Amino acid sequence: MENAIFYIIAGITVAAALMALTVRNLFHCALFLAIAMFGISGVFLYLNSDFLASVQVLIYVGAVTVIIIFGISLTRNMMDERSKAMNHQFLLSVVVAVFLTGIIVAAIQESPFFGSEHPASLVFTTVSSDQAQQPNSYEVSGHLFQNGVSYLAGALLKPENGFAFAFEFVSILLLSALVGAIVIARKDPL
Amino acid sequence: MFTGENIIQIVSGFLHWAYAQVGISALAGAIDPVITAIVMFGFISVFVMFLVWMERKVSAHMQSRIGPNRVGPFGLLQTVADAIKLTTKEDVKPVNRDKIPYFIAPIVAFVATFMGMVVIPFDKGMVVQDLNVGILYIIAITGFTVIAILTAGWSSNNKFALLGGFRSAAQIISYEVPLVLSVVPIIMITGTLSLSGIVEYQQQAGYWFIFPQIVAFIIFITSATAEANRAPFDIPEAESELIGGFHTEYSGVKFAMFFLGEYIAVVVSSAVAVTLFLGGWLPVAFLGFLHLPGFIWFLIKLVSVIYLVMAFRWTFPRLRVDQLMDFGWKVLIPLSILNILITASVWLLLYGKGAQ
Repeated sequence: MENAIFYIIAGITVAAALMALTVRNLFHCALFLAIAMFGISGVFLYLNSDFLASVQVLIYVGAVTVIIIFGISLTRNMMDERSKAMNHQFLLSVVVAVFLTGIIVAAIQESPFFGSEHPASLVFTTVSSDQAQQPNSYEVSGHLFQNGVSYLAGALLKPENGFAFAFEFVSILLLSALVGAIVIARKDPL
Repeated sequence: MFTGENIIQIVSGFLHWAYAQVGISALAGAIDPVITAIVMFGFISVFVMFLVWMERKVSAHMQSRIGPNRVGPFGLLQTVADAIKLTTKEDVKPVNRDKIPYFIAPIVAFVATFMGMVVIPFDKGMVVQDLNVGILYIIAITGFTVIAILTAGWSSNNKFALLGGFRSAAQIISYEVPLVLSVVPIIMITGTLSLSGIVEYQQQAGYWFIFPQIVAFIIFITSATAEANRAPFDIPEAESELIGGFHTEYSGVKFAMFFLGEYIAVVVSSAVAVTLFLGGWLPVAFLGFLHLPGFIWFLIKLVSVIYLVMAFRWTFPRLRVDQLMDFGWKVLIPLSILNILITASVWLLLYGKGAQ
């Protein structure tokens, strides 16, 4: 039963992703991309990770897809059925795609989830608010996995985990990229 | 005295007894969510009808008119008549529309906002699904309306609809940022994303967050009004410039779905404001002797906040598009970031550590 639901979600995601690549109408491509992103958040929910699922919808459906729709609406000939689907960098992109697939497959085989049973029940994590502080945790093949917002925040930002600097650094990088984009886009230079 | 939890227990007890009588107890897990969804849909439809009537009465009062008074007592059945008219109307479709997106857009616009109702706690234990990430879920799922509006504007094959769709999307994206940022201080203080958890924190603390966080409340209500595309932020459907914005080419039931979705967005954002800033189902302190059940308090607060949003609509003039963007990016966002900074500093000074 639970596996059937996984296959339905995964099937929708993969089908939508394929459609996003092959459909000639760019606007439809963007809509299929939104469906694929929503399917990925379904996979996160299936893995009992409600925080990641919400963030996936918030960022990839609510922001990235909308920006893509804005972008393609401003391009010329977006509805042209005869426009070429490939450009001269075709071969290079094949190399990159194969390489990337290799990395992903290797990463999956490294992961402790590989070959294990489904790690968590399908049901949404419903907790009363006094339990909400404690992250729900479960064990897969000897590794302890924990979920929940506070756990994730701790894993990222606690000084002993050492990611705090990287986290702040990425934030500043994004901020400077934003400011840079505004400066470049200005009509009258500063 | 009935509390929300008691009512839920009685109803679910009755339902499970009824399942046993018919012999479908095994399917209870599948039927319960369907019944919950139908009840929520019924509640929200009637509530929206009441709100439309209320909006017309409020606007009439502010313009020294009487408002609807022909159909039913005080014109209460006017919106019922309007709804019947809308649903039985012929569905006029443009010939050169993009068929499937044109059909799906109003459904997505309605469902996305309706799904926000799932995590709203009407009373202690009176919530469809008390998610761990409640507030984040609402922000994420209502973000779908942007795509629905863009799709509607684009697939109508009408330049006014397209312009309206783009204006609307630009506006929603701009005001989503201060909306989310205004919620952050409360999450920092309570240390939970669950809406029930936030209300319970206010119960234990003994004060509502509107008092320490009045700036956040003002930012939240302003951005929520802008997110719902309501006046004074209604350039996406400015009648005098754009006919009707993204739903120009929609009629009949499909238009009704956009309309319903818009009002549900108002209900959901007001309900979130009540939960975060006004103590949700908690009684008003000096009226505590009334001993009303929690969900009645919740509804009283909800209607009051919605009245505030309606009063905005009928008292402020419409903003121009550049004023709108300036206000969002140059006033609300810096203000909400400043609010986060001040809240965090005060919190550190008072308690010397973060939440938890």
